[in-house]
Amino acid sequence: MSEASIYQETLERFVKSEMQLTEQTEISWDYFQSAYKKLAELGFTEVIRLEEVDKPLLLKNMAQIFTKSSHLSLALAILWQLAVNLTVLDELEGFSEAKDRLAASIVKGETYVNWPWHNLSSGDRIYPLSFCSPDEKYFILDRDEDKGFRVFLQSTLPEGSQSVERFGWSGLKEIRWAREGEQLQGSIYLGKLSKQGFQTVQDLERFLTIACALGLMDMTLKAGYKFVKERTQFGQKIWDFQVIKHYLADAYSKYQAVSIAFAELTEYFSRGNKITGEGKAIQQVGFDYLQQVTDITLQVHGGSGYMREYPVQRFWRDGMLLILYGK
Amino acid sequence: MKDVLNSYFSQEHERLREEIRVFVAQCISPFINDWEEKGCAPKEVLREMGKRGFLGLRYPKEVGGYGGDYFMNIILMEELARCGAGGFPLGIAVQTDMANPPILQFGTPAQIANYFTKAIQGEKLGAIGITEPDHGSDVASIKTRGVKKNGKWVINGSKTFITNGPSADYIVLVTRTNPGPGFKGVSLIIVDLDSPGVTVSKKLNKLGMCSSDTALLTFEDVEVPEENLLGQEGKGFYEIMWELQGERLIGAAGAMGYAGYLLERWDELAREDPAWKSIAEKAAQEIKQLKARVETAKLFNYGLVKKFIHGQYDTQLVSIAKYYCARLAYQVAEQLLLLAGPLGVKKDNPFERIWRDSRVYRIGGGTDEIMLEVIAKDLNLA
Repeated sequence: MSEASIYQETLERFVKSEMQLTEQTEISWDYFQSAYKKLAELGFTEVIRLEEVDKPLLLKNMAQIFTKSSHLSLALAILWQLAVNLTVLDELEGFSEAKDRLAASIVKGETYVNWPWHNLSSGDRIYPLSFCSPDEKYFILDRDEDKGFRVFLQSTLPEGSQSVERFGWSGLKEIRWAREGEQLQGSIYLGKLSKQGFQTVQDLERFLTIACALGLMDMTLKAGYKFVKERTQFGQKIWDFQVIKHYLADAYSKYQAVSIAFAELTEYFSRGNKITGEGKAIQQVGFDYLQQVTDITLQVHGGSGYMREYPVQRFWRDGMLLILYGK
Repeated sequence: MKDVLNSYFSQEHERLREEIRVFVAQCISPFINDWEEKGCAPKEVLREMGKRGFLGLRYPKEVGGYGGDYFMNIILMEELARCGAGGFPLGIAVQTDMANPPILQFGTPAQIANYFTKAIQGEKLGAIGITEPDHGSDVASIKTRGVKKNGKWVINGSKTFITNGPSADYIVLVTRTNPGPGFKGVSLIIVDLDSPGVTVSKKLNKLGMCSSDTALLTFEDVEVPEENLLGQEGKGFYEIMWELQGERLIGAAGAMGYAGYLLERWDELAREDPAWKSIAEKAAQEIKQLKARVETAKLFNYGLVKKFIHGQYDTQLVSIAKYYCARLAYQVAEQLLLLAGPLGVKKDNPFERIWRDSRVYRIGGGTDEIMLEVIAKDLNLA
């Protein structure tokens, strides 16, 4: 058995035993902190820093395993903290002690930094993965002419920042503030992020959103399948109605098509290739199908699909947010 | 996306692609309208393709093949799509991936030499007979009977929707050799189509795929040598299920070949013709979405082919590929035709022709609904 598969199995066991959440579980800052610190204590967060590790494969597997925790918000918070933030720091040009200290602190779970999702062009600074804790920090990116960005670390929210309640991603809020008139006190300069470095971060983000979309599709298909195999109507399991069976088989086909294409993309990424165009195309298809698959699994639940006690309605909401932010 | 898709092909693959592309441009495309009109292609083309090795690309040299891999087959299908019609390539796919693989897989050395090798060298044309007038996807219910009599099989029955049927030299026939019901009494028998008692009852007039000829064949007391039994007696159901996997996989590749060709053609027209350019600009977002779907589907297919080459043979995934790619190819053709509006109405422009041709992908080799049944049967999401 390879080291990668041992890691994956152990992580999967950990997620099963420590992170199986119900509809009643409140994803809070404390919950996240405790889960992340346990991961760090067990060494799961350090693996990503190892030179010899196949990072794309590891991240693909991590994303899919964390999504199985059943709450997408937890998976997103862990992945952006670990994969995206560390990649940002790795891509910063030049040596800086502040940068290295921050990376070590992220790995240990001592610091949580919010990364702005730049694909929103409202002109505001937008941080979609915030627990609204005073202990959180923020990356600030300032455009440096055409060369890329100057990256700062900001410890407190500026005046006038708002937290936005959303229809999904339980426990997480969006923080936004207008750039105009922002007053940043005590920010620390971390380094320069070249255009190419920024592209690397964006490619990785796109890669992770596809992995999360697939994880979510897997979860919602399982929920749909379980329901139709148990639920009886008109004297038979609703699975035995051909239309229901075909709905799910069709949804599963779409999931598999993207899943196998994504596995191929991961191998290509692991060989050191850029995946900008490929990632965009697969993300577009993956998001289309995420929408369709979460919708149809909600539909086969009938009235139950509309009730908060069943997870499919959450997958439907969470999927839509992933699409809205990730596009 | 092109980079990752190209990464599956070596220089040797690319050389072959170029050779086939030139062949298609010189020997197929100029004549395709004529063949569509006549309802078939001349056998000389088949012979020429055989001579060049195109019909046996993935088969070992020991049996007369080119000695390549399955990706060469993918190249053949992708390049044949450039002729702008589905019919002729369908006849070729029947020859390369449907009628003959069971002979190589289950046949005796004599059967391989006499049928398979001659087929991939373009000397003989094969067909495969599964569907009957009263039985389509339900193979276990077929009625065409083969009875052993004086060291021969005597065959009675009929087979319909037979691609290559009117011009084929032989057919791999799914025959009931045991009168009991169900799949246990089914066997495969190779029947030479010049045998007394074989008649082409009807050359079928189709909605599309016009450059491939299709027939209803009738077998009346047709005597076939006993040694023409292919594989084991009574195992024909399993053997034909095996064949269907290859048929579905190449069907998926062919479908994406057409979808890719249409999107390329759309871009060419948008560059060359101001009227198309104006439509293409308005439809840019839709085209981008279709391209993303087709490229993702190609990557999915290539992933499956890689598994196939390594001996991983997943029935459910092959069914998914067939179902998914067939629907996508049709969706692409339909959407492009709708976008083209009045520019697409002229008969035999590639968009309208492939729109008609690609409709059959969702029927042949197992309808969408049969595919969903197969996928659902093996669905295990517990």
